[in-house]
Amino acid sequence: MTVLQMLFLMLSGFGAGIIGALFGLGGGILIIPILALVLKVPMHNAIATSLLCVIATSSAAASKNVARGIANVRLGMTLELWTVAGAMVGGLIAGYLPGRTLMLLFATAMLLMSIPMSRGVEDEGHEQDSSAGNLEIEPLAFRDRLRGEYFDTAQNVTVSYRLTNLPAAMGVSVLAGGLSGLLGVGGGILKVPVLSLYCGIPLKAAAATSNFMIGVTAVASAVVYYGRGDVSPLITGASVLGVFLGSRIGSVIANYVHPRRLRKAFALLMAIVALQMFWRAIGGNVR
Amino acid sequence: MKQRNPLASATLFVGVLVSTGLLAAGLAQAILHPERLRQDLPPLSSLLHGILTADPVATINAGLLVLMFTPLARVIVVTGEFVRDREYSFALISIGVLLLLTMSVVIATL
Repeated sequence: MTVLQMLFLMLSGFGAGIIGALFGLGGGILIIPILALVLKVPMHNAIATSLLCVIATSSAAASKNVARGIANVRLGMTLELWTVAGAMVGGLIAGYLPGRTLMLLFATAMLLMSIPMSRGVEDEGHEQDSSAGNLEIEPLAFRDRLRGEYFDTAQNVTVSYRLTNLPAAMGVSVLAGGLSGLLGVGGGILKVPVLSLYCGIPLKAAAATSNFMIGVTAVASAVVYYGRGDVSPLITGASVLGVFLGSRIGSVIANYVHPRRLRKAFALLMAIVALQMFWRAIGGNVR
Repeated sequence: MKQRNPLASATLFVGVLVSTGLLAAGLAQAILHPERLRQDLPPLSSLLHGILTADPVATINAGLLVLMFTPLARVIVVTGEFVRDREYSFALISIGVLLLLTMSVVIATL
């Protein structure tokens, strides 16, 4: 590997890190095609690098989001139980399904979800002033203990919210974990829109909570790839370092971008990635 | 509802800082001394020796291992925070996550 290639990988990781922090993704969706298509890196090495980038994005962004209270730690840990379980099952099923089928299923799901995401549901399910503190006198039901609030610097308000649909959140967590085990991505691309549109979690909190979760999900798969010798230190190291830097900047930008713009951009990204995956699955050499 | 978890945040921050430092040092060594590069991963037993002797691959490898351990450490710390705050239902959930992660590693190595 040349110095130029290492710098290219660092820049690619930097861009993926910014996008990952903005939209609750791990950056793997961008890293895998760059490594496999541009640098001709074997797919197993590309996925291993992607998983470590997912961990880097999650850890770097979550350290800030947890400190600011944007990531909902109780909700994140509750859903992590389901995500990790899904990742285990997904990893086992992956051995029995052809890659082309998996890619087409994932692309279909993403394309379908980008439509309601682009239309948006404007901040439903949460108030902008927390008067819910009085409720804490009585013992809280489990679902009520998953509520949260954070200060939105873009709108200059305190946003309070409560989870409106725990079964949907658990269901999408299992699915997202399964996809992570199957394809080596973080799973935020499914969790963020469902939490935002159907579970009453504001987009910023959904993205931050997803980011908080996906590192742990990725660790389970990353350890396996590492054990198999699929981690190439120079390729992975250069990519991950770029992601570290990009995700730090992305998490700062996310605090100053209006949620509506964030949602539109996220929907567009979902559609582009879905079309890219369709193209690859139909016409490419998918193993 | 209070949502600050300073120890979890600090754990992630320190993990990121240490792994970033090791990766940056290893990549800098690789750029400055390309003759020291090797394709295989050094054994874990020689990791510390590799870092001390400025072996680029060993240093990068150490950074990647710290990175993989960081989310696990975060789960352990969050579990401790839940116990400290007497939020036992969430502490049990966190222990469940740790058990599942352990199971996945065991399944993967079978």
